[in-house]
Parts: sequence; structure tokens; C-alpha cells
Amino acid sequence: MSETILQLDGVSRSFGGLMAVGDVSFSVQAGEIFGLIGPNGAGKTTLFNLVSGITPVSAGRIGFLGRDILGLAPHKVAGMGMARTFQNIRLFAGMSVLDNVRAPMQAFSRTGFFSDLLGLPASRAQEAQIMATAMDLLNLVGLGAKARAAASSLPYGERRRLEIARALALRPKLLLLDEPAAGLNLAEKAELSDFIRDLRSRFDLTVLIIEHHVPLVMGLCDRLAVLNFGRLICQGRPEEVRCDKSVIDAYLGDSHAAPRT
Amino acid sequence: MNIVFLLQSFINGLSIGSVYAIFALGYTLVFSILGIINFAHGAVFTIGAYCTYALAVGDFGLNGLLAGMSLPFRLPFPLALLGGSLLAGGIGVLVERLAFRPLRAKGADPLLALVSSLGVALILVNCLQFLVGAEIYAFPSGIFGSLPMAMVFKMDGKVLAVRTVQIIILVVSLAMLLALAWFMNRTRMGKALQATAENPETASLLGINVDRYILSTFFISGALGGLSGTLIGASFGLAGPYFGVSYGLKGLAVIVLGGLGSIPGAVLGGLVIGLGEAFLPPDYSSMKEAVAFVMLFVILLARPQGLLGRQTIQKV
Repeated sequence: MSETILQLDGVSRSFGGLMAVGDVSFSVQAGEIFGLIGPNGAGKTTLFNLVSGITPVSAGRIGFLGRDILGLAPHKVAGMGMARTFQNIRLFAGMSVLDNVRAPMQAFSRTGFFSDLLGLPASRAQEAQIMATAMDLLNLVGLGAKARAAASSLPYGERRRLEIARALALRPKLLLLDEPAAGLNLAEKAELSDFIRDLRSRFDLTVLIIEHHVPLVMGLCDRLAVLNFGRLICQGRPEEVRCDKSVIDAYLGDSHAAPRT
Repeated sequence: MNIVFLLQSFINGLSIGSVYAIFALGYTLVFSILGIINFAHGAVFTIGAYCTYALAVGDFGLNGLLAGMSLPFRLPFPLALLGGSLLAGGIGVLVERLAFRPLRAKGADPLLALVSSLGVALILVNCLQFLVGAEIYAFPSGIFGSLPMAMVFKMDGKVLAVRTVQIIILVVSLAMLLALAWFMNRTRMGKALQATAENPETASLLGINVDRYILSTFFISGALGGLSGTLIGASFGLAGPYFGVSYGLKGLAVIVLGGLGSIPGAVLGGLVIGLGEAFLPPDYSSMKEAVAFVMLFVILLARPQGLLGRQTIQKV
């Protein structure tokens, strides 16, 4: 673990007077599974939006693969190898399961528009390859048999897996997972850890994961950062974070801040 | 009522309805990707028709800045139609650059783009009038080369006449519809376009260059507008720079009737209104312009989301 994949320096974002993320700095190393935890409204998803470029930062710097990505259009950041999933799943509901995975691969098209339009051999070969890759990804998440189904027809857990497959279609180096366990049942949650570890080794991934389910995070992540009210209050290995007093206060409320109800 | 009248009306309706359909698709494509109506589409329709006219006929009439001038060449109609459509596509791109992108970049309310597109429409139409004057242009009769003007059939002593331009309209429009359906459903670019239409932000996070696809959409939309303007112009003449206005409104009726944002809906809406107009009894032909809006009114009472529109459920 030598290479720094993602580097945040003093990243801040305020909406009007509200400081959603304030002066957050941490770095994620290649091959790590890095957890981002914190109470509801702590600014975790905002931080994801800042990193992926859809929300501009108010202050600070974000580096990805050694390059400053502030001001870079989201599709360019994605093209560099950053893919994400969403807390409230955002599939292309009107498209088939297979097409959801194929859509992002447009970015890798090497053949020209007219070649595609005319179905020249190079385009066909590429189309066949894209198809094969898409099917591999779907089989990997157990949706191979449902490739032709409408994405909107999938049950909740399968939608989550399809979203991950779609993100993987970008061939990312860094995968951002926003609460992948939300809404999954216990058995599915248990499988999820193994699944994410398997993805990491199979695709040589670095993973940044937001998750509420504490046992999952503690078991899965190499390191954790804890956010509260937009500020980074602690970071380190799971066993260090677990015992940190500020983290316990943030989650359970300290005696001053949280009136009992 | 007799069989010849029905057949004649059906052919007339199918032909005009298919142009309405490709014209309305121009609205639909932009609406499905940006969620707003491009009010400049009627102006692009007009300009497309004038561009084709200029390429095919070569002169610019007696009024306006270009009066008395002529192009050094004349293109055969099919090439002029292609050229006019591509130029109209270029105008569509201009509309996106002038009326839509600057507002989008500033994060303005999408509704404002509706107003700015209306403004660009007025500017375009006035520029056109400045250049070519307000006179009526008509494609000369020899425009389709050696093809006869019409085919006349005699049935039961009655006359069934099918104008060549009607057949051309039908063939070209259906070919465009098929090409567009194939493009949207079969090509990767079409898939990326659909993804952008469903959710631009998600699409951009998946590496899809949203601005480029919006630009392509405006090009396709403009080209469809110019193509339909030319076909209508070839059939009924170019009645001044404002002749696109009433078609622009009718196009809106078509997409609302068919269901906003629905591609099959635009096609169905176009055919329904085209046939509705054609089956109007000859005695009431002065009411033709009202047909689209009466149908719109009646159908929206029964189906507020349009014929093929999806019922939107407002989430709280």
C-alpha cells in the first residue's frame, strides 16, 4: 500500500450558511477498503458528491491518481477511473438490465460514429466484446439470467447489485459505494463483505464506502474516517476508531449535547 | 361518404400525419433530455424549409437583403433536402449554444430556458425576414425531375388523386422514423442518449459526456425540424417567415396529445392529428386548424398524461 489513490486536503463545502463539510483531509491508499462513517446528516454523501465532481467544493483540494480533479467535469473524473453507486439507487429504470451496464461503456468506444452506424467489422467486434464484458459483469453479480428484464422490474437487493455492476463497467480504479447494505436483509449483508473483498482482488480496486451498519464496517474496512457535523473527528484502523471517545460521543450523544427524550 | 373519399382522406392524413410525427419528435427528443420545450423548434422548421429552397431553386426572391441574388449552383431535390436538414441541424446546435447552455451552466431555473428559446425563435424568424423578405415562395413544379405531379385513379366513377409529394413525404418520414428507432434502440450512442435523458447527473458520473449528447440531440432535433419544414413547404409552399408558427403550435399539440417525452407517443399523436384533419368533411375545411386543439382538449379530459404518456407520481 504505497500509492495514494485519493487525497483530500482541507475540503469544505457550505450551502448558504450551513457548513455541510468542513476542512476534511484524508487520503486513501491503493488497494484499501476505506470506510466513511458518521451519524445521519454528517456530510458523508455530500463528501461523495464533492469527490465525484457533481458538487463544487467551497475550499480545499482533491487529488485523484496524483492529479488535481477540482473543476474537472464529472464525466472526465469518471473516465479517469472513479465510479460510484447511490444511497437511493439510481438505475436507468426505462432500460433493460443489460443496457444499464452497457450505457457507461460508451466512454470506451474506439470506433467512430459512422462506423458504428454502418456496422463495420471493427464496430461489430467491439460491440461483441462490450456485450461479453457486460454479461460477465452481470454473471458476477448473479443477474446474468435477467439481462433482458427491465431494470425497474428487479427487486431491491438485485437493484443494488445491478448498480454495482454498472459502476464496474467503467473499469474503475476507485469505487465509491454509498450505503451498499441499506435495505438488505441480514443474509445479504453478510454476503456483502465477502463480495466487496472479492471485487477488490478481482478488479484491483480501491474502495471508499459509506456505511451505517457498524459490524459490517468494522469487519470489512482497513481504515475508517468518522464525520460529525461535516468535520472529520477521527480516523484510523477499526479497532482504534471503535475506542475513540469523540466517536462514541458522536454516535451515542455526550451528556451535554443530547437531551434524553 | 364513400369508399373513395375515405381512401383519399386516409392517404392524405397518413402523409401529413407522418410529417407531424417527425416534426414533433424534434420537440420530444429535447424535452426528454432537458425536460423543457424548445420553442425555437418552429423557427428551425421554417429555416430548414428556406435552406432547402435556396439549395434547390437557387434564388432569393424580390425582397430582403438577398433580393435578386442567386446561388451559383442548383442541387437536385434529394440533395437539397439533405443539405437543408443538415443546415437546420446546425441551427438547432446554435439554439442550444445561445438559448440553453449558458443558462444551464449558470444553474438557472429550467423554465427560464423556455423563455430564452422563445426569444431566439423571434430573432431567427426576424433575421430570416430581413434576409429573404416576407413574400411567399413555392417550389417550382419541376422539382421532382421527371416524376409526374400526381397519380390519378378512377374508382366507381370517382377520382382518387395521390400527389407525388404526398408519397415522397410518406416514404421519407417513415424512413426517418425507422432510422431514429433503430438509432435509439440499437446503437450504443442511442443507449447513452437514453441514459442521459433518464438522469443527466447519473449519466455524467458514468463517464457519459452529457453536454455532447445534449448538443447531438439538438442537432438531430433541428435536422428533423428542417426536414419536416421542407416536406410541408414542398407540399403547401413557404408562406413567409412566420409559416412555422402555426406548425410549431400544432407540434406542441401533437406531443401533449401523445404524451410528453414519449417517442412512440409523438408518432401516434402526429398520425392521430393528421388523420383527424384529413377526415374533416370538406364543408368544414376552414376549421382544419382547430382540429388538433379540439382533439387535444377531448383526449386530455380522458387521459391527462396523453395517449402514451406515463402517469407521473409526485413523490413527497
